[in-house]
Amino acid sequence: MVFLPIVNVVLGSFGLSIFEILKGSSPKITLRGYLRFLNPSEPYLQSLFFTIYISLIATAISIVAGYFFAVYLVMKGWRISMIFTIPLFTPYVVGAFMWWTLLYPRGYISLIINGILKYLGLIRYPIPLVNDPYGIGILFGEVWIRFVTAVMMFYSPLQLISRDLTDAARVLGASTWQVIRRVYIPLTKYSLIATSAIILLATMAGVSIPLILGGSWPQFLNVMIYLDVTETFNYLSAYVSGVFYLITCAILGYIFFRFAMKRVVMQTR
Amino acid sequence: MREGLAIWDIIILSIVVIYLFLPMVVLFEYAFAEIWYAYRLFPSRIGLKWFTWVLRHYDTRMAFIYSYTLAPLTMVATLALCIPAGYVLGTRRGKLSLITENLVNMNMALPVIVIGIGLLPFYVHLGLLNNYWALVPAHMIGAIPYTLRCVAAAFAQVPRDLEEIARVLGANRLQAIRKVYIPLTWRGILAGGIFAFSWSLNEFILTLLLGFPGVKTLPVAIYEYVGGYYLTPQPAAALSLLIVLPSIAIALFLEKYVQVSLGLGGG
Repeated sequence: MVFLPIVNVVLGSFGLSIFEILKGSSPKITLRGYLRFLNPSEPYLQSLFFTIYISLIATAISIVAGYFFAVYLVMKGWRISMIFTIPLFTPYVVGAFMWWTLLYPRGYISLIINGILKYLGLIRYPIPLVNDPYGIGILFGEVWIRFVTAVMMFYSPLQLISRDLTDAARVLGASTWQVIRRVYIPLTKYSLIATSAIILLATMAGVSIPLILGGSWPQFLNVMIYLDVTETFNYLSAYVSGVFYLITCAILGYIFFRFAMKRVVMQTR
Repeated sequence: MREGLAIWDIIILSIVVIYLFLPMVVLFEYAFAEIWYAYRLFPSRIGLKWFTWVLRHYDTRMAFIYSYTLAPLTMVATLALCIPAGYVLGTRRGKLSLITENLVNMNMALPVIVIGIGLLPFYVHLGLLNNYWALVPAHMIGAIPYTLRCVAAAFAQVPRDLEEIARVLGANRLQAIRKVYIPLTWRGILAGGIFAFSWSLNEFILTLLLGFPGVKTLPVAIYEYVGGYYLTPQPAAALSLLIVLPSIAIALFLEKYVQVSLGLGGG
């Protein structure tokens, strides 16, 4: 069920059709799609860089905020309430829509942020926070979901660290920051790498949030794929973009599974 | 809680709670706002107008019906495939099982949009575009890895001796699965089934590519109201609650009775 579509995308990126091959007609291989993708005057490379750039920022914010919040919960000895995980079981389309209502020009967050910036004299006119060219709306939507994912993924390995270690560090005079830097981070490094990889992967692969909160330009590569297929019927470009996505996701998926396994091995020790 | 709340605790927890729940509060506001003037911060009148509107409107009513019939169909079909596969993966740890498991895990890392554009020509060729029944296998693609993991993990926890005793006493393999494994693994199977149900309920991009405009589910209907040129947030908010509230109920049920935490966003 997954193998055939992937084969179809890879073959299609070279201008080949699985149906024509099955019919026995002589295939004509072309690199036109790849040349177009790599041409700087075409929108695809810019779209790829925008996707990577915004996904990296969203991942960095989610990982840093999620890690410190998970450490805070563990240090306090608190458990994660089920209510806290609501973003995880909210459909992405709904999550994106909720953020749209907050960020559009009459939304509460837009009014507050633009009000503060205007009061400080930093802007004369309200800045757009959604469907904007900087990806601000996408960042708000992505971080809302990924922050909770990060907290959930960091909480269990942090919780498994013996309290004796942190108590010993405290007795030896370590500050909270030193405990985090010298005890928590070294003991959860594999978890940090695996979680970063899976969050980056999820951010890059998700379509709903950039589709609803993104601007008309630049667009996420997966939105470009969607538009290529549904509006311009440019299947060749969509397949080439799909191949780039597959390669990126395969690398990130490999990092995740490799370090997630190392994390398990380290914890069972 | 080990100690009382300090001022910093209150500040940190308030920021996190506001950040996580403000979007949900605004969703409720929009769903129940009957009159909301653009220059006002809050609705002038609240009521159930938009809920009755979405249930009376043919398109949205059909979206509701499609969503809540496709989800159980996907659940049943996914379980029918995953129970025998989970039995093999959970009870026989050979090389082939490991390869299959890794391939299924890899599936989780694949972007749904790429699978969607890869499937599209097959659906066009086979005349399955905009076909309600053809969306079931499309929804299963995303659901199978999660369901299979749950089911295989449940089967793996059952001691092999029990099956061997049943076989010695004359049971065939099917009877051994039905009488030995199913009673001991129902929690895992239920969790896997609910994962599939929830995945299908939230699935968006494959339905948009393969089912739209003939078959519109709730996420696609929501997108129509907020992703197009004419933005109408009130019906979108009412539709969103029709999908979010059952999702929350499912997650709470799983947490309380099956001890599994759910996290599915659906592309």
